[in-house]
Amino acid sequence: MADNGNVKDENILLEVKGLKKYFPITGGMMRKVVGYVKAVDDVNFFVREGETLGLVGESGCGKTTAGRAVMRLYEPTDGEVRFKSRALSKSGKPEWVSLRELNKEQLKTVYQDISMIFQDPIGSLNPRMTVYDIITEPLLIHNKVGPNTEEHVIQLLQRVGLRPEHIRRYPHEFSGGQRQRIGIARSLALNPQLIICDEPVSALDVSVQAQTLNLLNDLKEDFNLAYIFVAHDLSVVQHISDRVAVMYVGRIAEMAESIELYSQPLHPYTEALMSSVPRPNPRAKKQRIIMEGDVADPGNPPPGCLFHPRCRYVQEKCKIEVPELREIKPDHYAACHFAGELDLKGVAM
Amino acid sequence: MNEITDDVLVSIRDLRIRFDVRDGIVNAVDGANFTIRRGKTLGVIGESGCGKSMTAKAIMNMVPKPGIMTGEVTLYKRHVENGSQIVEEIRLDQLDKDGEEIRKIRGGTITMIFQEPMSSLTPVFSAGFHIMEAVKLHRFLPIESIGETMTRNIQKKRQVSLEEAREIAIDMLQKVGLPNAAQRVDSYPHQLSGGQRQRVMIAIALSTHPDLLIADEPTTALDVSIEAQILDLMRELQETVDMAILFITHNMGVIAEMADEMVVMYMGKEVEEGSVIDIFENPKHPYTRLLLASIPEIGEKKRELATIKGMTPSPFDLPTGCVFHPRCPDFMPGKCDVVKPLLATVAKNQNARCLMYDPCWPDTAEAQAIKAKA
Repeated sequence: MADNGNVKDENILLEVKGLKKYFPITGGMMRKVVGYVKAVDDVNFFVREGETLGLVGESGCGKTTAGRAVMRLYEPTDGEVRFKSRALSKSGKPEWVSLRELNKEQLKTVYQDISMIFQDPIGSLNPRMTVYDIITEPLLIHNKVGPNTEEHVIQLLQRVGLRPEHIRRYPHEFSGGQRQRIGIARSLALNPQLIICDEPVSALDVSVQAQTLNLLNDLKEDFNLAYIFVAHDLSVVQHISDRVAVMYVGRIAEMAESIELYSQPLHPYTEALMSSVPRPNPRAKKQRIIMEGDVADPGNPPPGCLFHPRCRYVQEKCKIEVPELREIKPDHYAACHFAGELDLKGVAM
Repeated sequence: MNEITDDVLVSIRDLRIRFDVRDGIVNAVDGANFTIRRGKTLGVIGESGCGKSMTAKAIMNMVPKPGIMTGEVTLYKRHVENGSQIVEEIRLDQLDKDGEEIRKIRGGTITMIFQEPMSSLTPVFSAGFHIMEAVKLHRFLPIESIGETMTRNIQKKRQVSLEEAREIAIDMLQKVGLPNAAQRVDSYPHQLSGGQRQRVMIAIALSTHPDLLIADEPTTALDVSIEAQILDLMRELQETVDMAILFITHNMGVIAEMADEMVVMYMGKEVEEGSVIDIFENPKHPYTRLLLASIPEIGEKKRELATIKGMTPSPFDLPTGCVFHPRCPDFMPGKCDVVKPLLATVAKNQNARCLMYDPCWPDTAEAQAIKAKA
């Protein structure tokens, strides 16, 4: 990872360093702040152009918060988010900007390059707006409505697998999968470089989920998009991602190329998580590593490595020292004191 | 799978559930036939709206208004009397919905766990109270055996007392792996995590020694690591108490791990049934085949996922002939859109409902004429 401020890799589009988002816990009569929920705590990652980074983890691990803090939908507590923006540059060549230093006006401009797809296809579409209104809203905000807008919207609709005559309909006239397609068309309206997908398929049925995943993959190639794909389903993330970051209680436990991470995990949490996934093969041997207990409480985390109370390789050191995210192999990062020393099993590829 | 053998616990014959609503008639379940065997797990899989949860409700005779249920749901209940076993046949569908008899079966012989563990527990009562309530209603302890003095071995039974119920509750919570069960018995649902709540639900369901546990998407709302814990727990408990499980889910992985036999449902109809291994390795119906191909599998890199084109039809406007024909890759024009296929045996212990297989053609002159034409 580029640690000196200069990006080594030419293709990097977004770089996140030391990102923190703490939510205050208030208590007592005066609503005094009595502590913090460290939803995202010192997270580092990067996304290359045209690449999908999967952010995966159990509920409460901070994956959604991390996605939103990148966009400043949640104002980060600390950290740096650098993004190669096309929209903000005057020369026409992409230019590095630090998202946290931008003012409101500049941020709005950058939002032409970054958009978002949400989990709930019902809640994320205004029921009183037609498909045309929904998809042109981003264009309206950025003063890009012109005589060709309707044509543009029709093209987008066709691209995501809807028909031109759907343009005047309202969201309730569509099924869940179709609504998600409308959300995808909206996110494409301004021709972004990066789309943050927050659990885009978890509300969909299996057959519709496959259609949506294939669509996202096709769009990525056609528009050279980069995705941050936030999800809890390990098999979906494996399918769609080029690289995967596994999060646990606000921190990244491990990050590597998708195939590498699934076949040769270096963090005990990744190993246990993958072994827990029920596999659609009735003859598969059930060799699950059962993680005892529940996910640590981010408001009251255990000392040392956050995973140590559930880890089967735990040693004294883990209970005291917080492990840093280190590059163990080229492009393979893990936050474990014993990463590389343990003999961990992945899933066969 | 029609013969009634000794190991049959519940048999469902031609079950239909119809809702007469303003926009028309919805056939939520349209002729389901299957058998739940003692001590085995039957998985029911299907997408939302296919009628899998409604089938479960029908077994408990809990079809909500204005639903109308027809068909047969028979429970074969085993008793030990006179030292020998007798099997009592109870037609669940004919029992009074609010009657004494069905209320003994619900929560006693047949219990249920639901998807959402938060809303299935009352927030104002403790975990222990929930279990004690079930135990007090459905569990009876023998007080004396008159069998020694007479030829007939009759046991008098009484309800459990409050103290005993509490002991049973603590014991159950221990069995389902809740740490500090003796203290946790007084915890309220909001003090427990999602996985712990689901454990409490399982404790309630198992505290009455049921013959059948209906699990309606029990792990869908849980994280993977907790899901693994719960699935392992259910399997362990099933081995120790000899109960059957009807496992309803949309997750192929879960069904592959849990079930012995499975039923695939589509738009209120079973499209395929058989043993889990047969269906996963050799699916007969195009829908099953596509469903299996459309899931991304961990540890396997697929370039493109198979998809089922289109979407599930509106229940008010079902396609003619085979309900799956507009989405089917093997659609045969002139046949599939005209003839309604029957569920028939297409391979050893494997039934499917598809006109690709000869036995599925109905035995009417009309259908046979269409069949002969091609």
